Amino acid sequence: MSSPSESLHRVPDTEDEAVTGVPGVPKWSGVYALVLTVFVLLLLGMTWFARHFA
Amino acid sequence: MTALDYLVLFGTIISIAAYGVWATRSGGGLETYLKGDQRIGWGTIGLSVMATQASAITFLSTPGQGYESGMGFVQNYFGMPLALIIVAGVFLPIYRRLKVYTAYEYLGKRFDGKTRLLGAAFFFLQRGLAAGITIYAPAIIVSSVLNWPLGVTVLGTGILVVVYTVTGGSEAVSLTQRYQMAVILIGMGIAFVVVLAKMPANVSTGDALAVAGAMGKLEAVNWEFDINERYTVWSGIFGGLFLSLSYFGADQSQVQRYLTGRSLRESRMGLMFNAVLKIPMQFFILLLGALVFVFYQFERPPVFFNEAVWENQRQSEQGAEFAAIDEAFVEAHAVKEAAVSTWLAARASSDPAAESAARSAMTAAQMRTEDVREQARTALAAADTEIKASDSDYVFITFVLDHLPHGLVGLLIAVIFCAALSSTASELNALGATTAVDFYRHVFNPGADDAHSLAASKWFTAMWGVVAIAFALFANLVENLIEAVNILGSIFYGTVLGLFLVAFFLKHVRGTAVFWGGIIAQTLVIVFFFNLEISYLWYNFIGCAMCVCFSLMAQLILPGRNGGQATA
Repeated sequence: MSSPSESLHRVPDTEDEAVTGVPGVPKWSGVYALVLTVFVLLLLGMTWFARHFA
Repeated sequence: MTALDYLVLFGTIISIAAYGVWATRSGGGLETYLKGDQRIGWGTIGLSVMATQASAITFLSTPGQGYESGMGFVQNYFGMPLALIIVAGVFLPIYRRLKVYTAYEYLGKRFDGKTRLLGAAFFFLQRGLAAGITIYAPAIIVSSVLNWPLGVTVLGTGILVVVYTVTGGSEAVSLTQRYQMAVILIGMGIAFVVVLAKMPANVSTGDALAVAGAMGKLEAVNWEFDINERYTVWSGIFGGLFLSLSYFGADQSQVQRYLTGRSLRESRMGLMFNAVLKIPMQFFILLLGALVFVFYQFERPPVFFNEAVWENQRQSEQGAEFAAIDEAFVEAHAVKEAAVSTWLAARASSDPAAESAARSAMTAAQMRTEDVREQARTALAAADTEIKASDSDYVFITFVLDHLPHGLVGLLIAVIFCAALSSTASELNALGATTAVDFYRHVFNPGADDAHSLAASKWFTAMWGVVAIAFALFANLVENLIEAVNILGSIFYGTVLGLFLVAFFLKHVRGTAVFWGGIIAQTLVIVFFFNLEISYLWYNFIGCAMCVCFSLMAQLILPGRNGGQATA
């Protein structure tokens, strides 16, 4: 049994490697940043597409 | 449909279902049945999450939406990548660490039993009805265009999905979804190629896109900040974020899919797979609809795509009125076809004045055909108020049946049934699991061992299957009811998300406070819904914000009344 507050904070990735080589930066931050970058590129691509064929 | 089409159709859907039963024949315990022993890889999870979200009506309606209104609907999904990142980073690790079977079990561990039941009850209200709709909606369309008895289509789809979901559980659902999604993607890809190949020889892909663009069908992105516009980048990112957070983070039909992952990494990768691929997939399905629109500039479509309904009226006493509309449409379409060809020639000539004049003529011709289609809809509505006046759901299937080669017709009908089976399977699997774990084992039989709980899960899954089939068979479902189910979802999603956000981020708020915060928020959402003129999508945000605020206030008012201890 752990305290209620324990479940409220971000849970360490105990099943995964917890951090990257950069102290305090979770490993998955890079993946999330990549996904958001892909989204921004898609947004820009669709904007170009809509304007190009308007 | 020829014998070859039937062979492809039944061969595809039955062999996938049979594989699901065969691959999971060894059985296993409750853990295996509800979480597939957590041995599923990220690719299967990704396809399974995608297949759960994409119901048959997605593949019937979305191309129709591209045909009718253009590609703006894609913006609805813009909140999804960020929502999936939050689910992968916050929700998922907690679910896995606490080894829960359902999302609502987490509410029980974090707060108390009554909050767990509240979350589960909201889920039943949404998904219990939706399971019937996901069987009914494609069945009514396919039955209409293929002249199949509706009852047989509903029963066939329902019984098939119940058999493999009950016998194989979560693993069978994930495994079959992998192949069903593969069939869907291959089928839609082939349809995309065929529509381009079917364009007239002198119309290149660039020309086709230019026609779609000139007709306003390719406006995928609208950067204006206008809350009256249904689809903009901002409403998509903001509204879509709350909707997707609630759907992927707190709806058991999705949570159960990614909890089957063999590790946290596999589950996360499955979610990121969707964060990256869902928007392009929707983009291409809408683009397919826009290209079908261009195809029908050179090939006359029916004036009303639900041709069975139209033909009935043509044979009725008012048949002369409908025949006159048909004639007007033939004439208007011939004028438009010529205007489109003239515009393409003017565009190629690089003469801006000629191009502008031809574009105006083409737009006017398009408006004329739309006027005639509107007359058709009005005449149908006047002839019979029970008739659904919108025919956009019938656009794509009409194109498939009339213009795809035999064999591929069967494959595309299989796409529709694969989508219906995959989303229904997830719903039944989740409804059965939630009934067994959050109600039966939690309230009625707390001492039940795993073997007993496994049997109960199978019975509850079968029970929900029967409920869904009965709902689809006997309810007189029309357009309004389908929309009503969507509205019902939005009304409850906000509060459910609020319960989970309080659980994750407001550590001092306890069970009794969040329970009453949720009840008050949900009551007010229902009151607002019946008294205010707000688009129902906004209730996702309003319900969530009110649940969080009222939970905080209740925690201040109820000092010391913790409403149960967290056991995490």
